[in-house]
Amino acid sequence: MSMEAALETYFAEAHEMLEEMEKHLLNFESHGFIDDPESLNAIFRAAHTIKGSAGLFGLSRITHFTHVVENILDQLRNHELELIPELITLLLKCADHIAELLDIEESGISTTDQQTAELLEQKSEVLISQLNASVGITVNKTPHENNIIDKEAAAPSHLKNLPQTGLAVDDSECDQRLERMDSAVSNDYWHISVRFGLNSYRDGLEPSSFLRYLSNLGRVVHILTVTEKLPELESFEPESCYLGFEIQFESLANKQQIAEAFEFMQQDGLVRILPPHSQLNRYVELIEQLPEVDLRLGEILVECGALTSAELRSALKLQQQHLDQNQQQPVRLLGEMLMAEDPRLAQVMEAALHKQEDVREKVAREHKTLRVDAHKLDELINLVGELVTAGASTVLQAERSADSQVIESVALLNNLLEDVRDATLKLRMVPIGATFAKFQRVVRDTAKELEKDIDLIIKGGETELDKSVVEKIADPLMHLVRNALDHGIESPQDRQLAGKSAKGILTLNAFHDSGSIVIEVTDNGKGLDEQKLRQKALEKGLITEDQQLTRHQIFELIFEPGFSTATQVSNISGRGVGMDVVKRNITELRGRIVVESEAGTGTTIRIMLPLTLAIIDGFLVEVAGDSFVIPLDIIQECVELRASAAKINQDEPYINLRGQVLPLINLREHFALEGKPNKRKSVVVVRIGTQRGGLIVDRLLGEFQTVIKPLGKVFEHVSGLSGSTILGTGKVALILDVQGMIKKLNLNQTRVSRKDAGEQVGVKPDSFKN
Amino acid sequence: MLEVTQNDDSIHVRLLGEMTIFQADELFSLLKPLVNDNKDLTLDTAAVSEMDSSVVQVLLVLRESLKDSNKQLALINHSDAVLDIMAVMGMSGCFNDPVVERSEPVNGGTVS
Repeated sequence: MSMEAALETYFAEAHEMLEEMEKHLLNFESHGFIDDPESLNAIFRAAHTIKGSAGLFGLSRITHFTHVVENILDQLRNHELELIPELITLLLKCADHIAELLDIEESGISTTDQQTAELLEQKSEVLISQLNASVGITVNKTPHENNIIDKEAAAPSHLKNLPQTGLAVDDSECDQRLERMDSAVSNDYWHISVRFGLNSYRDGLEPSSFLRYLSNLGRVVHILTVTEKLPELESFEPESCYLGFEIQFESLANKQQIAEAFEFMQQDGLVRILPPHSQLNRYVELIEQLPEVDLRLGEILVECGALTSAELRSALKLQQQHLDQNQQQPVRLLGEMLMAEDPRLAQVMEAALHKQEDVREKVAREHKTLRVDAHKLDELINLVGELVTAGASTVLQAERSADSQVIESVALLNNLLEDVRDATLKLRMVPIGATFAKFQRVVRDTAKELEKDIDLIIKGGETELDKSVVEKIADPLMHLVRNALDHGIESPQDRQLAGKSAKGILTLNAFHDSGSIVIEVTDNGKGLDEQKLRQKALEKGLITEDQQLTRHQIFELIFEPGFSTATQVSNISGRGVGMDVVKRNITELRGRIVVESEAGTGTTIRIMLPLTLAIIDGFLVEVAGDSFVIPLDIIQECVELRASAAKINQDEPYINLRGQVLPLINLREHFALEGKPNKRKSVVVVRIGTQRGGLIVDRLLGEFQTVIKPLGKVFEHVSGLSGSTILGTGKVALILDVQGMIKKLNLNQTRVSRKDAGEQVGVKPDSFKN
Repeated sequence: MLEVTQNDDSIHVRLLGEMTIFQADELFSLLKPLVNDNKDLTLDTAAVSEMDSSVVQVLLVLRESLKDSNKQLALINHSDAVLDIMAVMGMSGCFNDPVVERSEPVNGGTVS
C-alpha cells in the first residue's frame, strides 16, 4: 500500500471514529450520564486510534491535540473525572476541532497556508486550556494526576499498576529512568528479529527476498546477519538455512503489515517485531525468546543500534531479577493470584472473561466489512452492464436460430446474468441511516443556537440506496433540515401559545416505493402560509396579481431562486440560496421534490429518488428508424395518434385526451430526423410531477432495462438527451431527457391553455416569469 | 562453475555464473577440500551473475573454518550481484574485501 493510499484510509477511518465518538457523546447527553463503560471505552478507543495513527503519519498537530483529549477520556474511564454536561459539550467541540485538523491535513493546506495553520494552533491551545480547566474543577479525587499533559500515554496503564517492588535497580550507573520496567528505550525504529527455519531453502524460501520485500514498506536502517547457528565445516549442510537477521527498520507501516511481509516463513522460523520506543521489558522478553545466548544477543542488539549499552545493562539486570524472583516463586498470572486470594472472585473473573470475549467478537464483526475503491466497483458495474447487453444480443441470436435447446440455455444464462447484475448493483447500496445519524448533531447544535427545544426522530435508517446518491443527497438534506429547524418549528413560547407542546419534533424518514426511494423531512411546526407565500411571490414579481394558482403551485414557489419568506436573515438559513439549489440538486439526480404543508400543523418535504444512477428501467421507442429510451417510471400510458384527433398547428401540437389538453412533442421534428414517416403513430404520455405531455413516436418496442452511459462531450449542448445505451443488437439508443423537454413544452403550453380555456394542465412556476 | 588456480601460499578461485541454492551443495563440496589445504582462499566473483543467501552462508562457513587455522577468505572483483546480496544482508565489507561503495552507506542495507 502506498503512503498516499494509507493516508487516505487513515483520514476516512479517523472521520468514522469521530462520528462514533460523537454518537456516544450525544447518547450520554440525551440519556444523562449513566455508568456505561462500553461507550466510554469506545470514545476512548476512537481518540486513541486517531492519535496513534496520526503519530505514525507524523501529523504532529493532531497527535498533540488528541493526546490531551485522550488523557481526559482516560480519566473519565477510570472514574477520576465525572462526565458533566459541560464536559460533553467541550468534548464535542474537541471532536469538531480534530475533524478540522484532519481536513486541513487532508487538503494539504498545512504546508501552504501559514495563517490557517496558526489559527488552528491557537484554537488547539484554547481547547486544551479549557480541557485542563475542566479537569481542574472536577478532579478532586486524584490531585496527583493533575498534570495530565505530561503523563506518558504511551505506557499502557495496566503496566503501571504492576507491582514494582523488587524491581528497583541499585546500580547508580544505570539511568534512573531505566529502573522501571515500562520505561521506553530511545530507539526510534522498529526492531525486527528474524530467525529462519532450517528447512527454509528446501521449502523454497530465500531470506534475501524477504529482506528485499521489506524495503517496499520502509527503509532498512541497519541490518545484521546473525550467524550464531552456523555449524562447523564438517556438519554444515549447504541446503539448510542457518541465518537470522536483526533489523532496524524505519517505516510508517503498522505491525500487521510488517508481520505480513514475513508471513510465509513464520511456520518454520521465528519473527519478533518491536515497535519504535518499545518498553525495555519487551526487549528483555525478546532476548529471552531468541535462540542465541542472552549476552551475545544483547550485544547484537546494541551492535545494530536497537539498544544503547546502558539500556542493555538495565535489561540484563531486570532479567536477572526476573529469574531470581521466578526461582523463589513460580510465575503466576495476575488473574490466578487474585483467584487464589478469594475464591468468590473466580465467578467474577469468569464473567469478566466472557465479557472480554464478547467484546473481541464484536470487534471482529465490525471489521468484517471490506473497503473497496469505489472506482473498482464502478468498473465492475460497467462490465456487468456490458455483459447484460451482450447477453441480450445473444438472446436475439438464439431466437433467430429457432433452436429450442439453445434458446432455453441462453434464457437460463440471461436470468443468471440479471441476478449477477442485481447483486453487483447491491454492492453500491448503503443504508441511509449513517447520513441521517449525522443530523443528530446538527439538530442539537442548531436547536441550542435558536433556543428551541427540538427532538429528531429517525425512521427507516436501514433503507438502502446507491452510495453516490447518498453522497449527493447529504447537502440538500442539510438545507432542508436547517430550514425546518429555523423556519418550520416555532419557538417554545409560540408553540405553547398555539396550544402545542413546547418540544418540536423533526422527523427524517426513508422508505422504498415502487422502484424509487422516498426521503421525507417532516416538522410539526407552523406550516407554510399560502397567503404569505403568494404575497412574497408578487413582490418578487414571480407571479402576477390575476394568476390563479393551486395550493400545490404556491408551495412550489419556495423553490424559486431568491425566494425566502424569512423576514430576518439568520446565519442558519434565509440567505436566499437554498431551496432552489436543493431542487436543482434533486433534479440532477433524476429525482423529484414535493412539498406538503398544513398551516399550524407542520410541513413535509418529500424527495423521490431513483434507487441507482447507473441503471434505468426504460421504454424503448423508435422514431425514423432510430431507437430512444424513455424512463419507464414517468410513462403513464401509450395511445394511438389518430390524425383527426391531433390538432397540429405548426409548432404547438396537442390532442384532446379524454377531455384534457395534452401538449405533444414530435420527436421526429425535435431531433430533425429524416426518413419516411410512419403511417401509424403512437403517443407516449409522460408525467413529471403535475406536468404532462405526449411524445409522438413511430413505434413502441417495449420495456428495456439498461445501464446508462454518459454522453460524449459532443452531445453536451443537445437538448432533450440525458445519456445513451447500447442495445442487444449493438445499436446505440439515446435516453431522452423528458424532464427538460416537458419543461420546454409547458412554456409554449401556457398560451395554448389560455387560448383554449381548457382544463388547466400543470404549470410549472417558471413559466410565469415569461 | 569454478576455475581453481593453486599458488604456493594461496588458492585463487574464479566463480562463474549463477551462485544460488541450486549450486550451493556442489559449490560447497568443491570448495570444502580447498579449505583443508591450509592456504588463503581468494574468490574472484567478477563472473557471478546471481548470488543468494545460501551461497553467502557457504562462504561464511568456509571463512570461519579458515580463521581457525589463521587463514583468510577474501572476495575480489565483486560483481553487481554480489555487492547487492552483501548489501541486502548487511554484510558489505565482511570478507576483508575492498568493496567499492555505491550510493548507500556500508550498513545502510538498502538495495540500491
